[in-house]
Amino acid sequence: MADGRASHFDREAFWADWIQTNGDRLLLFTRSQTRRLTESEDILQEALLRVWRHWEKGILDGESLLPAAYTNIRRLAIDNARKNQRREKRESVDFLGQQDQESINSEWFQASQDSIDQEELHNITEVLEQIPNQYREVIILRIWSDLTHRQIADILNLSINSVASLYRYGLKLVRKELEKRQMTTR
Amino acid sequence: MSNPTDKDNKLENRLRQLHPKAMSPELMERLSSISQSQQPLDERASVENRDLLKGLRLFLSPRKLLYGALSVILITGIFLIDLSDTSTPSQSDQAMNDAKDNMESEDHLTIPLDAGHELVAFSNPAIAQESEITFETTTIIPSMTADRHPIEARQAIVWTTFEAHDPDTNERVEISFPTSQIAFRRAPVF
Repeated sequence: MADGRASHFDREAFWADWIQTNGDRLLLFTRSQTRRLTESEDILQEALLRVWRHWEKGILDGESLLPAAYTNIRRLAIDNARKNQRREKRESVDFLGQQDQESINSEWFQASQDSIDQEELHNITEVLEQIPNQYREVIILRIWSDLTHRQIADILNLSINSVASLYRYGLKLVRKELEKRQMTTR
Repeated sequence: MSNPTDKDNKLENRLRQLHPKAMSPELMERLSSISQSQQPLDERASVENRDLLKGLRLFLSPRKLLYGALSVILITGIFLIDLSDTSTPSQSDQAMNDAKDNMESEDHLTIPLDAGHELVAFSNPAIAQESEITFETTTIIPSMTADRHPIEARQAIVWTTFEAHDPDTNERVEISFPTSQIAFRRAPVF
């Protein structure tokens, strides 16, 4: 594991490998926070730049890169959302409408098995978009980032019990929403 | 019939079979290059361009446009006032207006002044008689601007006196014009 004393070359190799391993899940989390692909990419880049700087200065070690990345993404996404709200008020633009349209047109997932079809992927993306953010971020961090409840609690600044509750309630919410959709399509 | 917990567990397993959509190769390249230089120029530039566009959108908001328009009007007004102050002294404005009535006269006299101005005095029989100088042959060199020169009153007409040089007699003379007949204008640039 690379640390603050590793050579620059080793750091580059480690970083490239780390991005390769975690890039997709970080992008998924960013997209769930911002809902616009272009904004997500900018926020992800800015967050990783901050993480890199801290890592280079020795403030972070290799183990804490991932939690730090999620924390930075979350902060930047909150700032971005506030900025968009101010802009929306100022310019009277239906910015959220544009966001929804854009997010509907882009899926978050790809199936690893043929048993999951595109419609199901689409439904899951939509349901995850619709549920409150507190459930969504716990589910995404737990399922697609393989983080423990303790790690999620540190990132979200919550207790472990709260994270566990949010996860269970969130799953139930997703299941009910998906069942509703299945009933309406039958 | 499975209970809700079993259903949730099934859903969890189902969701775990999904993988986050892969990021584009361009984004992967951008993120990987963060380590090569702390500020990868090309990639940062693309983000900064987007920021610039965002900034322009902010600038183009109605309120900002209004502020911008008011600022432009204010700055233009100040500039024009400043320009008019330097091109024509305020006292001469009135003189110029008064002198316009006499513009029919062809034999007007142009006198170079300092600070890029000209004194334009319009000859008419009354002035010629008073000054006793033939305008066509006289170069008048004012020693100072008209509004600073001592002004004397004759017969209820305000007169302005200039020092002049008569090339025929090679003498310095004084000539006087009714102030209303004098005007200043910016010297033409040749």
